[in-house]
Amino acid sequence: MSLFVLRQLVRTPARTLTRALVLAASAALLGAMVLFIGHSLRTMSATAIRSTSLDWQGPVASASAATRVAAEVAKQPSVAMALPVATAPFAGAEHTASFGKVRAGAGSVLAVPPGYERQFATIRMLHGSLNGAGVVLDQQLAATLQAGVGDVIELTPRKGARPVSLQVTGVAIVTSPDTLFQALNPQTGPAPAQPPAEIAIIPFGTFAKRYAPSLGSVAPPSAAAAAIPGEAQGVTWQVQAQLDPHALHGSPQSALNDATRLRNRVERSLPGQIQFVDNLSDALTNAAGDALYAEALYIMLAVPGALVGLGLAYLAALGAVERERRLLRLLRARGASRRKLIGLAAIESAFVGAFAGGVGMLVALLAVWWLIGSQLSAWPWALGVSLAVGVLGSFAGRVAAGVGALAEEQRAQPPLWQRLWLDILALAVSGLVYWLTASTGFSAVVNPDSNPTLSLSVYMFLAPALLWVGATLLLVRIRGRVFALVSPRRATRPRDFLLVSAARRAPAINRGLVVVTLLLAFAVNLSVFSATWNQQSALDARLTIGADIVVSGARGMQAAVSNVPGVTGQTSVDHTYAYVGPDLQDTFAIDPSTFLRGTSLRDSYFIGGSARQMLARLQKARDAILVSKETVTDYSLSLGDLLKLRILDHRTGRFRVVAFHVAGIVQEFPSAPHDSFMVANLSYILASTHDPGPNVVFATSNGDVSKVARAVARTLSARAATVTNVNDQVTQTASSITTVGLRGISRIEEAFALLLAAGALILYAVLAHAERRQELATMAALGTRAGRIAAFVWTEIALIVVVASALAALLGWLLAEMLVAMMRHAFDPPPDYLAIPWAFLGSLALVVGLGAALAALVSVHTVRRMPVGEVLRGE
Amino acid sequence: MIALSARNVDVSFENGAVHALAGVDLDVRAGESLALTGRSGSGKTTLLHVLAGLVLPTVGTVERTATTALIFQGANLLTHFTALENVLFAQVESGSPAAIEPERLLTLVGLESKRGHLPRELSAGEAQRTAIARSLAQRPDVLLCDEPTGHLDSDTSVRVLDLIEALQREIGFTLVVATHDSNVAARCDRIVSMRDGRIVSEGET
Repeated sequence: MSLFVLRQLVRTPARTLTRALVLAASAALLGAMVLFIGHSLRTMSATAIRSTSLDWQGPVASASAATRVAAEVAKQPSVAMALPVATAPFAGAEHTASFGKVRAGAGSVLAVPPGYERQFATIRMLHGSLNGAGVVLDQQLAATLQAGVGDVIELTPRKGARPVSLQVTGVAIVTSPDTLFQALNPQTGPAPAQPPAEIAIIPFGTFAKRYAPSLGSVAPPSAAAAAIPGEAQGVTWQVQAQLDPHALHGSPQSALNDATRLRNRVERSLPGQIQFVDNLSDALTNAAGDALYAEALYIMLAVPGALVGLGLAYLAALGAVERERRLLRLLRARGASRRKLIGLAAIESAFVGAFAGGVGMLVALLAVWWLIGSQLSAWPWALGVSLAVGVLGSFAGRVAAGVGALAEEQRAQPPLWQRLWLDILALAVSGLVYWLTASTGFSAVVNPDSNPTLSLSVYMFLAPALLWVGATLLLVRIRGRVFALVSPRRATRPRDFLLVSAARRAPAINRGLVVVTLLLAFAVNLSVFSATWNQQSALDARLTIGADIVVSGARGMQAAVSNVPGVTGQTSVDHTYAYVGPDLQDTFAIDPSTFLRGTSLRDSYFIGGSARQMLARLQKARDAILVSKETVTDYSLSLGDLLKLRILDHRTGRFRVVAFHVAGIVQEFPSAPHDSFMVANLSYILASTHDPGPNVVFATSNGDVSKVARAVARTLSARAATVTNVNDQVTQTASSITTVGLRGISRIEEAFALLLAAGALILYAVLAHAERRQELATMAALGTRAGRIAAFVWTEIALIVVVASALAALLGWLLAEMLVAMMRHAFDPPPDYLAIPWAFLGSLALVVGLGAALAALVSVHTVRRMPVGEVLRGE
Repeated sequence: MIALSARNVDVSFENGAVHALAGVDLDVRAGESLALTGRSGSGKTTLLHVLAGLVLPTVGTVERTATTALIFQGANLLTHFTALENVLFAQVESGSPAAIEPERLLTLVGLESKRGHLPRELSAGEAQRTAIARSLAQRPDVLLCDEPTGHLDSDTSVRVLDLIEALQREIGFTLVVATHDSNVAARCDRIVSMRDGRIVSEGET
């Protein structure tokens, strides 16, 4: 039986190849999607793991307990390292310089064993090292005290305690102070804290012997060890551990399960001795949420394309349905049973499907490798999906085409879905869901406290899903009746016959129209949505970090930044904190006259005036301040009101009261948090707080931002500055859903959409010739020239292209509007308009045009080579 | 006067594996009615197609001093055109002004009431009569008919043959009919018999 099937397939190579290639395209699309999702999920896991500078922190009661338990934890399998650590406050620091005493205010001490900085990415040494009985100063404390390596400083553990004298052995940047100094409560989990203003790092042994005795220990677990200056009262002893990243596999959820299992095992093996605050699981939980969202988004974007691809397979099978029937009748007449015929169809589908699945997989691997340079470790899954799509698609396409054609012939009334008006119903429900989504603010993402959190619901996908279904069914119902509109009443000229023919063949043309419309709509929707997504991600990223390029810890580096080629403008900002009543708020001290040189502002960031008006108000009054709406409400403030803030005085290390006047309300601001913050004049803040100078530089670039940022980093490499850029922020996937990368999958799918759209038109031309072979040969016998005969096919293709383009533009735009409306709350700021990817749409138009031209050439070529006599004699 | 002339015509298909015609010599005189007879596979249809220019001889030549039109065994109407549009299409494609208006041609073949009907809405006889009207719309000097009654019942066959004869008398075209029906052949002026792609006999009726 298999041999018979193989012979049949080989006897009609063009037909077999067409079916296989069409199926291969669908299989490739889905295979590529699986590869990409696998790659994305692993990347999300890896990024979450990499971004966690400190995996586990377990509070313990004493220094000896920390040392003992750390040694035990380090022995556990899959634990890369574990060390005893302590944190504690200091009330003040003092350095006797050559010109006199320099004091710093309250801060925190981090006690770690020597060599800690080589194993944990929480500290970066700038000069010197941590050893012996010395101290390493955070760069800010070193700057405040004007102390360097070799100097001696005094740290006062608490008011009234005897200062501890230590020699400075190094200067470092503490890169994760919010995690290092967080309150450790394993029951409540990670709670990153406001980082201390000043940090000193002391060797663990020295700390335990000379410093800790002046302070009591914080009993674990406790929420009282927060690092806000003045709040932590004792020593927090802890064990810090880092997992072997190779022990965590696969998607964020899978890695999270691995991490949780490992933590449970370690805690069980040391009963009653330690429980960890699991920063790693926290990061992986966030990543798992993002991954769930990304998967839903990928599927929502990719599946319609694959389904339309299968529609093409149906179309290809439909072209051969008559021939199939003749063969089946012949076999039936020769005594083949129904079971045998089904068996033959199944074997044939398996052959074609396996071939198509294999080719599809190969194409998917090449496409993913070529387009996104991805690791391809998800290939077994992708191969399974490709083969399943190939075999099932082949069988389903064959059965659907056969049954569909039969049902069409025997049908006395419209199919049930038409009688139930399911198409109109689907469109109405889609519109209703969209209206509810738009009017109630329901969306895929709930962002109540400015922390992007994810709330997935099937409900939210109903609008676009039902629009796809409704639009497809409506197109099927219409059966291309619209083409009757172009048909003349009486045909008297050659072109009239083309239009008459097209009008009468509307149901057949409609099959091509449906597939091409849906393919183009898929491409338009995908490209508009992903362009809008990328646009908003970039805007979001710029708002999050502040500018194209941001240099932090950048005191005195403004001139160096502005001299870097590619930097087109820059402005200095001092990011500090101030108390409004009991609330500590981020405060941005800016120079209104230069601010727009380094970044951009939108009018929607402010209430009661434009961005320029607000900057003018700041410029007009030295003590002017912009406050958040929440602050205005909570403290019943009005414009012009006096506002007294407590701000850290860098000279004394104490908070002092400074008077401001409210000049406006600000909602968003570059690099500001989403809740409460303030914006004031840089000169006024510096004068009031004795701040050594602005600590942030915002810079703009008109070139490759990543490249310019690297040049800035190189220029400042010898100095303690951190350089970030908007591109890195966009590709970072640690916390925000807006960082889900659509670029890779949209490139793959756009490429497939282009290929499938062109392929669909050529397939249509081939099928139209197969269907009308006898008719076209008759025309040739009547003396019609080949070019004119071919026009009967390419006119249909032209009609399909024109009508499908119009319908696809409408449908794609509606779908993109729906998806973006649903995601509105994911973006900050929300999108004001859809981004139109003109380059891709131009390419799409070009490819469709080329596909149509190629299809027309195929028509002319096929007609010219048609053996008219043989065709008329029934071959 | 010779309307069509075939000299030493060979036709082979499938790279010479099938010889459809071998050394055929035939002259069709203007105004006559000629029957090509023979069994299925004898080469009648191929010879008609060669005379119509649809199949090129592998060897030999065909000279045409007259225009031709072909009527097929199965009518072969253009399925998406009405009866009238089929006739109109043939007339437009012939590129010459109509000698007889398409509507009148349909009236001549008795189908004035079926002008707006699509081929699937016509009976086999009506379809064949439409095909006759269509071929006449091409203003042929020679009408080539391939088994014109092959798919028709005997009553309809007689009516179609009567119609062709009547039209020939009225319009004055040359008629070449390929048929295996001796009754049909007997109505022609001359009969040419074929076997295995060769002309085996020729005679006046």
